[in-house]
Amino acid sequence: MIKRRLLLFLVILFNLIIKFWRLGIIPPLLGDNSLALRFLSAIVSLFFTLLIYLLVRKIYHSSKLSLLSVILFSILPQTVIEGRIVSILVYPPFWIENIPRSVSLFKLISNFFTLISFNMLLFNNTTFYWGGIRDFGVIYLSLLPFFITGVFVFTLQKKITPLILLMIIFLLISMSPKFPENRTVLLSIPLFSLIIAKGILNFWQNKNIHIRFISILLFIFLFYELIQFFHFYTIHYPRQVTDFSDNIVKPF
Amino acid sequence: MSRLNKSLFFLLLIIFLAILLRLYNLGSIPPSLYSDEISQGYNAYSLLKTARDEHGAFLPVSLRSFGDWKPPLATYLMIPAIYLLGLNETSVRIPSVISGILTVLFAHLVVRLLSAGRKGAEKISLLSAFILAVSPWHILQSRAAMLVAVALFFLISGIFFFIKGEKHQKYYYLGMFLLALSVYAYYGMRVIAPLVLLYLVIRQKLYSKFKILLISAAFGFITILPLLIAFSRNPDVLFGRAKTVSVFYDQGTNLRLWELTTQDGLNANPLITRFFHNRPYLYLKKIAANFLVHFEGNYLFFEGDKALPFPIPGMGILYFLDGIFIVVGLFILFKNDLPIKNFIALTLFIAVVPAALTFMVPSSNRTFNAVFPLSVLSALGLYALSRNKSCRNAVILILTVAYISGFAYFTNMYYLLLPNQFAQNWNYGWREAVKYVRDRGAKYDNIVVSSVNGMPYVYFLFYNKYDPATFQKKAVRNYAADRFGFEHVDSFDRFIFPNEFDFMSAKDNKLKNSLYIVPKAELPPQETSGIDINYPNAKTALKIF
Repeated sequence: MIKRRLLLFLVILFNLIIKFWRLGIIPPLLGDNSLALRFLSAIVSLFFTLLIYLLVRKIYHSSKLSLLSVILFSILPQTVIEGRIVSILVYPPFWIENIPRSVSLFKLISNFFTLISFNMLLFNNTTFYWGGIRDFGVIYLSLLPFFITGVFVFTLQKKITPLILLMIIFLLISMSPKFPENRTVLLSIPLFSLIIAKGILNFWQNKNIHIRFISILLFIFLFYELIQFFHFYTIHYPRQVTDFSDNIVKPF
Repeated sequence: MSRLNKSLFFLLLIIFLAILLRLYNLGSIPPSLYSDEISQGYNAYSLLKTARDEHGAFLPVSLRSFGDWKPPLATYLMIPAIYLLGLNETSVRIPSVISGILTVLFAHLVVRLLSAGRKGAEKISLLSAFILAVSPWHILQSRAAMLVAVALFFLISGIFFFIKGEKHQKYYYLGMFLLALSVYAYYGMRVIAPLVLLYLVIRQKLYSKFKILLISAAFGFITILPLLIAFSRNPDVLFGRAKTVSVFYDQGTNLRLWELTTQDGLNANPLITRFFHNRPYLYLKKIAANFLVHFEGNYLFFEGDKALPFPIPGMGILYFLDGIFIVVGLFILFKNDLPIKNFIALTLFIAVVPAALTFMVPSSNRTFNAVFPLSVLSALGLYALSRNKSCRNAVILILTVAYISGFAYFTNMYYLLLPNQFAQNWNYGWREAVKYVRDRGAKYDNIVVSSVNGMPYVYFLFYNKYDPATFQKKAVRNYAADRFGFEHVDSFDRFIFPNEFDFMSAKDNKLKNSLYIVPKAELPPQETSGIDINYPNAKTALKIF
């Protein structure tokens, strides 16, 4: 119990550092006086982190799952990026711009496929002009096996609510007039965190030596990807933002 | 009817359907021979007449062709067809058709063999064969001489006999021979066949049967020996074309590395910069992205392969319904821990690996072997859904109607729309141009054919049944590769094929008594003079001046 509380404290501390460190500098402010809104974004994002912990623990009665979900939520690219700019969570006009509109069935399915594509999931963020980092998708490449396992385990256990919610969010995004520049993908991150956490727990509970070995390799690679992400975020991203500042949606 | 007879009856029906879908109007659907097809056709003709290819190489183990070093098996298989049916579209495509039909049969046999004794094994194997028989992806490749249909047949039949070797060891040798032969069918097989073989050796625990392993290896080695000898003389014969499309050949990754390193700044520690920006990480991401792009919905169901000549108008390479079946099939496969699990997962993975190592993705041609595991997954999903106890009849009815609708849509797109509205995808027009020259070109001293895009020389060889021995002597080539790595023929006889050609500049200084043939796409829209060679939809393909 104490160990878990300590871990939760460390996660919050990590979030505090990640969300507030050099908030007005990385990414650079674009002359739109949005520091106060950014600050609010960071606070809401922090609050969200705690909310996810409590919700997952309440629903699944598992401290391990909730703790792991919240750790993953804290480190996924979208959470870090959106938690440090004026996010959709604190600026209502961004919501209004994304209200789903009717689209043809073909377009809806095509957009949906784009959203669930591995390209969007792992390698590219198309929301650059809305604040995304081009080189990173929704989750890290090393987390893909855990995500697939999580989907499989939830389906096998017939606990498919997170999967259905994910599908609904993606369907709504597919109908957004701003597609694919859509920052509402942020809403799906808690679900991704939960599914991946489930996958990790399932992987780790497997005592097979090969599975353990693969898990360790994936964690090492995840660590490397995390370092890569923060390097991109602190070195390359500010430069990209400055280079394309005219096209970036404000307030930023 | 006994269960066995019933099964045989359905299998025969499926094979009949496969034959019908692959043989119907073979000469005119696709509407023209693509340059790769016609090159193989003429080389087969050349081998038939002279035992040498167009370059004069005696019984080559790799066809230099346009400088792309085509694997030769499909070409050799064309020789009997050309001997019997003459040099035409049908004889060129027949090996692919036969391979495609036999693959449907062997798909059934492999699945039945691997799931023997399991509930529903017969039905799943029949469904796998059926899904393969009506698969748009498989039909498209089986009706074109694009190498991969032949390669898949040798792979699947090799796997079948190798697995069958468990009971009768002589089949190990046959299996090994077929798998080894597959490396002569397609470049990708030079990666796929060894990996599949390694899996089969482990699966069959062949490492503990040393004598069989040794004899099998000897069979394999003897089969690939000619290729190895040719490789020792000229490395291009093994990975010639593969080299130029490799992800490591593409400069994109190197440029990105340079860009990122530069952005780190001059003050950055070189070791740290290298830690963040290095080739292994960038290539890993690139290869993983290339691999995974082949499993994206828009590619599989809506857009398909955009590289010519592979697009099927208005659809992807699979039916939309297959997507649902595949997902259900995957779930069933892992949930029930079926014995076929490892085989399907591995063949699917291995099928996509060669394409992931190239930079032109997604590619339906290079990943064609994936059509087999995907068909089996589809069959598993379809079978599982049709076993739904609560509303079995309704599910079967809905699935049947939906599948027939998808099939009807595909037949309309492929058999009607493609030859009439998308003939340009298949280099339509050159056969008609050759005919024009044959009928009315005798009076000209020179026939100048723009060779900026494509290889028109081979159409003039093929449709004129030009004597291969004469061509081997008279062809003028400079062997300089163009920007895509292809080598051109400059001229032969009175035919001239300028590679860098602008008709509008040459227009005022035309050679005396010469006929010029230029693709419409290379001319400005306002150029209306000349004689038109039209596509079936009446748009201009070529202009003759």
